[in-house]
Amino acid sequence: MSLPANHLLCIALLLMVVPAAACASPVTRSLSTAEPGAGEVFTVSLSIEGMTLGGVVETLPAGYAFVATDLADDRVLARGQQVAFAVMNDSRITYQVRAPASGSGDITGRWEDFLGESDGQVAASHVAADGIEAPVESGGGDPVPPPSQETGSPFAVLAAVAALLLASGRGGRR
Amino acid sequence: MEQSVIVHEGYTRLKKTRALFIGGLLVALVILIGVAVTLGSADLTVGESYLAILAGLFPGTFSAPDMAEIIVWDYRLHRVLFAVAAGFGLAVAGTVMQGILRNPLASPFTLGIASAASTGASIAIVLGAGFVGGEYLVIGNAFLFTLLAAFAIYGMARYRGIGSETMVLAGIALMYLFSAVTSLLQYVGSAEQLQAVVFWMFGSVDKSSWPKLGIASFVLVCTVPYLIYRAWDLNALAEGDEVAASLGVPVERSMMVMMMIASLITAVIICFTGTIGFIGLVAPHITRMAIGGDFRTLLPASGLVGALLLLAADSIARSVLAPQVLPVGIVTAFLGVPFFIYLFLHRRSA
Amino acid sequence: MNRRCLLALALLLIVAAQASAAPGDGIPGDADGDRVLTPAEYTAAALTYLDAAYMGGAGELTRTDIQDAAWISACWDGRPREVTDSSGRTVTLYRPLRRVVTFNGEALETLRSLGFDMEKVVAVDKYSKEKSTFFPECREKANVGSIWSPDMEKVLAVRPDAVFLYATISTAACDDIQRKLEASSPGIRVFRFDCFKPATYPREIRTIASMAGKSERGDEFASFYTSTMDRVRDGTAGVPADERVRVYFEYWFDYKTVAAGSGYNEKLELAGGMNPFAGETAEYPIIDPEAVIVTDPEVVVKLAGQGLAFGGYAGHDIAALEGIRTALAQRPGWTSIAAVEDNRIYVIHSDILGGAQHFIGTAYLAKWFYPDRFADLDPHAIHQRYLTGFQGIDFDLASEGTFVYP
Repeated sequence: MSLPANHLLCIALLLMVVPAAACASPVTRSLSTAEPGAGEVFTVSLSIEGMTLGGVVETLPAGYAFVATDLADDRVLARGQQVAFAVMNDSRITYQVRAPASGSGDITGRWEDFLGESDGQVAASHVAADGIEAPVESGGGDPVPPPSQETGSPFAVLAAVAALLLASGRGGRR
Repeated sequence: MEQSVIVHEGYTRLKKTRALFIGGLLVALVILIGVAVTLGSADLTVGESYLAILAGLFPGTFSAPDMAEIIVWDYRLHRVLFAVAAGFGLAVAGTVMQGILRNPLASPFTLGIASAASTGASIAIVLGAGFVGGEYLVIGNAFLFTLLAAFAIYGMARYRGIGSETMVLAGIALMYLFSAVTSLLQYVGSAEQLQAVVFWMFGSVDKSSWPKLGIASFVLVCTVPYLIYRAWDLNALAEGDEVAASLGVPVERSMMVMMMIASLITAVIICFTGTIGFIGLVAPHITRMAIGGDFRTLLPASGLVGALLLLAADSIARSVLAPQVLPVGIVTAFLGVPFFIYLFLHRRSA
Repeated sequence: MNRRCLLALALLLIVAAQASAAPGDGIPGDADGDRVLTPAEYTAAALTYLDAAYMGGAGELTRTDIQDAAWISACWDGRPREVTDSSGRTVTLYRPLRRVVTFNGEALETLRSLGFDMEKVVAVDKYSKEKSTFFPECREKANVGSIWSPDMEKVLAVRPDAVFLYATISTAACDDIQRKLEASSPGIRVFRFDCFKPATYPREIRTIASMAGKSERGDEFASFYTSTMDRVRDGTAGVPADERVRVYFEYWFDYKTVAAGSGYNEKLELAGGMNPFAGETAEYPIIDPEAVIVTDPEVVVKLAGQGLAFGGYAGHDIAALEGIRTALAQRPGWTSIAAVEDNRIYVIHSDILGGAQHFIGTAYLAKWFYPDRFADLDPHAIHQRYLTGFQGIDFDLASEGTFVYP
């Protein structure tokens, strides 16, 4: 599937903004789209490798709401902006998130391997409704500061400006 | 008139010396107990050790770290108190033996008691045969064989006439007999059994426990007051059989009763610890050098000296090769060396 | 709406579960206390833990609890494990072993053969600690003394949950240690395993593997062990009693041999040898030198090791073993012995004949006694496979250590 040049630019900027993920993390996240439309439901995919019994706790940015997951009900606990998954020999967990009308932030996660007796962070995934960066703050209730703020505002500003230009180019798409 | 005043003054001074000596011993003993309880390979500070003791005694008011209480109450405290009781008992028994045998080099083991106990223990370890089963197999055997030796002495002495010479001769005969049996058992036993017998013969306070401490203390509490009560008989015996008889002391009966009691005390201690030597020999000597030979004060004082000696030896045994614990009998054996050298160098007259 | 109801219900269940999942004896996470951790109970416990750890929820399960629950779910099928040790006592384990103390060096070696995480062994006996070539990871571990002189305070200070002792030797001393531990700290489980006797070792391997959650590896190792021993037994099965090879086995000290009741005699006889002194009363009898010449042994085996400290894992000293062998052959009157005439004098180190590696030594004995029957038996390869494949230590037999000569 070929991506329009606009999207490529966004993704390139995104990659500059997000720092490298921890190498030993058995859990990696991917989003069906990093720029959902307002109110759009998008899919988050967690791919799990090398961890048989453990847990993953995802924290969604403010405004984003957890909708559903393919995992059985008794293995999921959702409260507020956080969702806990009990991993039992799963190699992939997917769940749906509804984007707000506007707002952006990072989806962050913590993983714990009970058998391997280790734990760590899942690399953050940035998401912005309509590609528009919210001016202030990020995901709610997450004690770990989102990585994007660390790497410095110039990139975020550049990305915001570029996104604005692109959005205005696209026109008022609902 | 002046002579009696001088004698009276001298006697008052002696009494004061004795009081000071015994008082000093008690203080030293308490201090040493306090130090010994803090020794051990678990990383407990001095404060934690004492806190653990207090927490055990007054569980409501004090609380100590969990491990500290278990270590102090289940491993250290009864061991320290047992060393005190054992040292006291062995020293008192040694004093009595020296009194009735009129031999300053006598000890509780002179009459072959140690050898008999070793034989009892060897029979239990190598042959697995004994009077009391299970945990108390070796203990029961050692105790009963010690008493067996005591009765044998009594029997032999009655046959040939009770006197210190006959008892010593009988004792030597028994000692050789029992040693031979022990050696044979050591030879016949497996390598492991041999190791067990040798370990037992070293003598150690490792196997102490609260019930054993209770038994030993009970025997001491029953016998020592009686011995002190009859200490004057020992004083009389020290002068010679005829002199004692003329003072109204039932010589033969006294000697026998004293010997049996001393054997009983020794038996109840060494059946738990194995043969710990030199305490019964050295403690009365040291005490006699300090406060003279009056058995009324010599008995309790040498008991305290023995307690101090054994506790000090056990503390050394636990610390010198830490974390290994030396059998205390080895340390007390080394104690005998400087003592005898001292005697050897300072012997002027009999 | 439905989603919210379900969530509320889930939360209610979790709250109810955590109220009954009290810590203590029992599998962590076992909500209904029926001693079985079903997958559903485990999942609920996992979510409770994640909630408490990351989502600000309230829960009593600690990280160790949930790790134990996961382990039990995976390795023990959610059930407590009943273990019967070699003294016949059965202990029920509700938690995996996390802090192990071994007084028994052979049990330590067996744990390592089974792939047990050696980090979980928190203290070892002083002899294992001294074997720095064989147990390099034990150099830094706490030292609890020996069976005859145990450092009980150190054992308590490392807060173990399991202590390994011998089952059939040093019983008085081991019983003593067991009694003291169980009286003062009932939370410490005491296990009695020998791990050096051919009759009981395979069973012990499997039992310990089951305790450690390494059943597969346990089966593999047990098969490796039994295949060697069976090969020896089968190879010697057909030899009639009067055709058995006469063997004079000498212990570390001159003219000290072994008799029935000694482990070395057992292995000797397993390998098909006949020990003319087996009937002596003492376990390690010292015999009259003339008797050796009179019995005219066909093979002479000399034991090197502790009392005769050459070779083994600590030294690569072929010259020393060769010297022992030459000295033996030159004993007065020995030139007339069949063993000397046929040049069948061997030196073997106790490291591979006693202890947990006895199957290697027995294989060597069998090969020496009946070279034709065991032409295809390769004890050297077995030894190397044991070291590399099971023990996981970096030891190359070709260049390090001397265990047999020639």
